[in-house]
Amino acid sequence: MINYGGVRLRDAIDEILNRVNSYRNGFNIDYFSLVQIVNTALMDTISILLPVYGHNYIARFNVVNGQFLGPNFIKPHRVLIQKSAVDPLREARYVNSREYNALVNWETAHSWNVAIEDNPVYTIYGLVFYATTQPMSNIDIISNTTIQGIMEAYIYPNVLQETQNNVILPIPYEYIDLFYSIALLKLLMHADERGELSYLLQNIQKIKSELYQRKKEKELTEARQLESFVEPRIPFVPSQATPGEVAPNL
Amino acid sequence: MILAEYIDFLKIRLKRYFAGAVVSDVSISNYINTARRKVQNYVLPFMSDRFGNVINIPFNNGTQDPTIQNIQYGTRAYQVFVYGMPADLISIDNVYMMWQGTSVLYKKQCRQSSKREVYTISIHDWNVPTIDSPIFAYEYDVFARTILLYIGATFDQATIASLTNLNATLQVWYVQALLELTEPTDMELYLSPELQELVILEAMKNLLIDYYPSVNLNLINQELMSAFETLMTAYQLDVQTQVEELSTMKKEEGL
Repeated sequence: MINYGGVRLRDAIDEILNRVNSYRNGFNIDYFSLVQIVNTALMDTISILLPVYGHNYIARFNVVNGQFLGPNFIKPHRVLIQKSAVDPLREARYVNSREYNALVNWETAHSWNVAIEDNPVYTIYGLVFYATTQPMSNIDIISNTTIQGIMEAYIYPNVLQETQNNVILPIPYEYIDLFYSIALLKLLMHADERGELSYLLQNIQKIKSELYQRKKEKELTEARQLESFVEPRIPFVPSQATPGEVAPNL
Repeated sequence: MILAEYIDFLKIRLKRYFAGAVVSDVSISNYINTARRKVQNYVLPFMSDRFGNVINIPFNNGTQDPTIQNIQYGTRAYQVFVYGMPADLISIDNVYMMWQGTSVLYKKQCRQSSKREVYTISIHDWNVPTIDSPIFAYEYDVFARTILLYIGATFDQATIASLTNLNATLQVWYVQALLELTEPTDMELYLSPELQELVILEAMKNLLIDYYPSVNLNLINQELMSAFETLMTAYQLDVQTQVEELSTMKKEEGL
C-alpha cells in the first residue's frame, strides 16, 4: 500500500467539501454519506489504476487447499506452496481448472509437467483456492487439506469505517485529482445536477486516457532503451537490395 | 458488502429524486438482486471462473435413461445415467467420474457432447464412450423443470455394481448463478467492489425508469458506460501485459 500520498480520510472529506462548496445544498452532505462516497470513489480509482499501478495493491496472506478467498480478491500474483508445515516453500504455477485436474491426475499428467513438490500447481475456481504438490494417488486432490502456502494477490482494500479518519487513502499522489473528480461526480450526481457534471466526466476520461497513454509510452521507452537485450525480430519490410548482391527474400 | 449496505448506498444516491416518494427496502432489494444478475451476465464471458462451484454426486443417485439401453458392445451395454443438477447451474466446465481402486483413486474426465450426439456416438464403436472416457451432456428439461446431466459409457451390470460398491461419484465443476440476497445481513460473496458499483448504478437506473420516468437518465447511463469501460480496459490491459511480460514464450514462426 502506498503511504506517500499522505491523504487521510478526514483530509479527503475536507477537500471534497471545499471543492463542492459552491454547489452545496441540503441533500445528504453529511459525514456518513461522504465516507460512503469516499469509499466508492476509492474503489473506482483503484480499478482505473490497477493495470498500471497494480504493485500498490498486493497483499500477502496464508492459504490452505480449499480456502475461500473472498470478494475483494482480484487476481493472484505469486503463490508459494509447501507439502506440509515442515517442507520447503516452492513457487507454484497457475493453471486453469481443466488443466489442473489433468495435471494432478496420475493417469493423465505427463512426466514433463506433472505437479510435483518442486513444481506445484494451483488453480482458483469460484474464488476457492486449490493447490497440490503431487498427483493424487488415493485421495481426491480437492479434499486434501495438508497443502498450505503463502499467496500474494491483488486485493481491494477494506471499506473504510467512519471512525477510521486517520487512515491514509491508498492512492498515488499523482492521481489524487482523479480520485477527487470521481468523488465529486458521485456527490453531485445525487446532490445536484449542474453543468459541472459533464466537466467532471470529461476530466475523468482525460486522466484515464493519459494514464493508459503513459503506460504505452513507458513500454515503448523501455523497448528502445533495452533494445540490445531484446532478441532480434524479423523485420516486417525487406531491406533494400544492395547493388551487386542478391535481393533479400523474406 | 451486505444487502443492507447495498440498500443504503442506493438510497443515498437516489435521495435527490425521492423527495416525496417512498420505496420500500423490499422493493429496493428486488432491484438490487436483478441488477446483480445483470452484472454477472455482463462479466461472464471473461470472468466465469469467479462464479465457479464444485459438487460431488454419488454415482448410484442416477436413473438409467430408458431410451438407450439396448445397444450392445459384446457383453457390455452402452448406457446413460441421468442426474438432476442444482437450479443455479449456468454452464458446466468439467465433469469427472471418480471411484476408489484398491490403492489408487481413479478420476476420469468426461468429454462433452450434445444430447443429439449422445445417440450417434453410441452407434460408432470407434468413439464409443467407455468407462475410461465417458461422455456427458446437459440440458434443461421443460417438463421436469430441472437441469439434467447425462453420463454415458459402456457398462455391464457387474461394472455398475462394482462402481456402486466403490462409492463412485461424479464431480461437476460448473458456473453458478448468483443466489439472491434476501436478509439484510446477507453477504455479497462473489462480486468484487468494482462490480458492486456496477450493480448500484444498474439498480439505480432501473428504479428511476420505473418510478421517475421523467428523469434524465443520460448521466446515469454515461456513468454506467464509463464504469463498464474501465472494467473492460483494465481487463484488456491485464491480458496484454501478461502477453508482453511473457514475450519470450511467444512463438513467432510463420511471420
